[in-house]
Amino acid sequence: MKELFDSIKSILWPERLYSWQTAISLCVLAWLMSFPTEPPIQNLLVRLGWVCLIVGVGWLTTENPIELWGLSFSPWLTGLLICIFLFVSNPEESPPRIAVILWPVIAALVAVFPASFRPTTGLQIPPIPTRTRLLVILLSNLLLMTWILFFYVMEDWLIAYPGLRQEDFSGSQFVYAAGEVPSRTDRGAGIVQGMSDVLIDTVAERPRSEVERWLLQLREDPDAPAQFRDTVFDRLTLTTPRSVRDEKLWQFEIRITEPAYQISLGARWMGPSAHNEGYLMQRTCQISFINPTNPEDPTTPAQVACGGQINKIAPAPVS
Amino acid sequence: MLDFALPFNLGADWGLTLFPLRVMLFQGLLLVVAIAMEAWVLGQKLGVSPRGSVQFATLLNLFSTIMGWLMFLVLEVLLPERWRWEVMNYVLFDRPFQLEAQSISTLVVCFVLITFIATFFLETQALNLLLLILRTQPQIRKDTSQVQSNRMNRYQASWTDRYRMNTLLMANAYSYSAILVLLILRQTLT
Repeated sequence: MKELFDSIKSILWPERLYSWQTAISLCVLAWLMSFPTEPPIQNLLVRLGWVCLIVGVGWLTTENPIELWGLSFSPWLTGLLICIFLFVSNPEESPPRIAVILWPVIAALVAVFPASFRPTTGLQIPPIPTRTRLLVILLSNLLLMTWILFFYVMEDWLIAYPGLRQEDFSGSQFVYAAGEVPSRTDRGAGIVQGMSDVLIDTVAERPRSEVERWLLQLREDPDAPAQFRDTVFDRLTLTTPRSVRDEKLWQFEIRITEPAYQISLGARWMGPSAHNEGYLMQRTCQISFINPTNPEDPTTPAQVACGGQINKIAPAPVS
Repeated sequence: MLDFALPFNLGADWGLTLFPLRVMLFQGLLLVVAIAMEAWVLGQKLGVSPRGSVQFATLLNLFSTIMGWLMFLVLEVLLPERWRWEVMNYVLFDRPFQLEAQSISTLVVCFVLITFIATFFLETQALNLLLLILRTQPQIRKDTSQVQSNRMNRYQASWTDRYRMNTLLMANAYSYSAILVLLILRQTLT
């Protein structure tokens, strides 16, 4: 019982004033004091508390490192705290990328710090015998940083070319893909949906003669498909983020079959792909003219049904 | 182009996330092989202690790997879009996008040569810098005070820049050959 009491006491009550317990106590003190105060002073106290916490945790974990297979994880823990302190202003928002990118670098600096700091003389260049080890730590953490940067470069590819998300990444020698694409955000399906929206807008409730002329034009006139395409993308730009740049990588494939006017709307992904020719997102719409008295009447209004699902047609993987 | 202020949410919004795990593992393997070979050459030729030569080789290889990655990241931003698609297709699907087979082989040869020369240049600079930082002339095994009749021995013992560079070139040539063999093996096995 007494031993337990003693060990608790030795943790809470340091033998020296100059120790990590002091830093942690200062942190608790600063946070306690921040409760009754108002914003300008309160923010200052909270920040002060953070600094004391970082110093305390860094000190504690340097003296008692958390080790796994001879590798100390303590600098990364302290580095994590520093990154949160520096880059996270609002806990509700997710932290910015720079916090993750700089985490290993800051951790390396934390690891280098004990060798380059003396309480008596302040900052100094680390002594020669430790320099090799410190350089290895610094460089391996920089390598980690480049891997994180590469991770974000690929994420930006997926943002700029969302059609990539439907691709098959199993052949890659670089990456491992995890997770599924929710159909709500699928780019190809969005484009096909845009195509059917434009089709409905142009055709629905129009007289038969007009609709037939439009369909004929779409099939015969070389400019008409491009015009249709522009209308679709103009409409889509309203809802897609500005960072998406894959417009020219989608090829429209429209097929009209007579006499019932089944119109198949397809968008083919022509960008980077695991196959020779991407994949196709496709749906079929039905244009019908219902007039019980005279089926050939050119003024019968058209009715469009695009109820069908949007299907993905992908070639078998080339292996 | 990287946007540093974007939130880092791990696939929360997009569902699909690409982790560069394979390239990390393979690069780890390549680094170990390259460090082992270069340390061996450095130890043999420069007479550095085994521990010292491993340290030197580790630092040099880590440095050149990081520089290589940074160059890739800068190039990725600067490349015209068509070439970026080519890079994306190689990285994500391990196949060319629109390139012909012949231009690929030309490109690969050019790429390997440029990387080799750039690595060699970077590593010589890094070695000079390292010797400055560590303030060491790695001990020379041969006793220099003794009169040496053999010209080769004298040349080696003088620890000149030229001899150092030649050794580094040799070490790089060995490790590059090993890496090339590993790359070709991986390409044929998968």
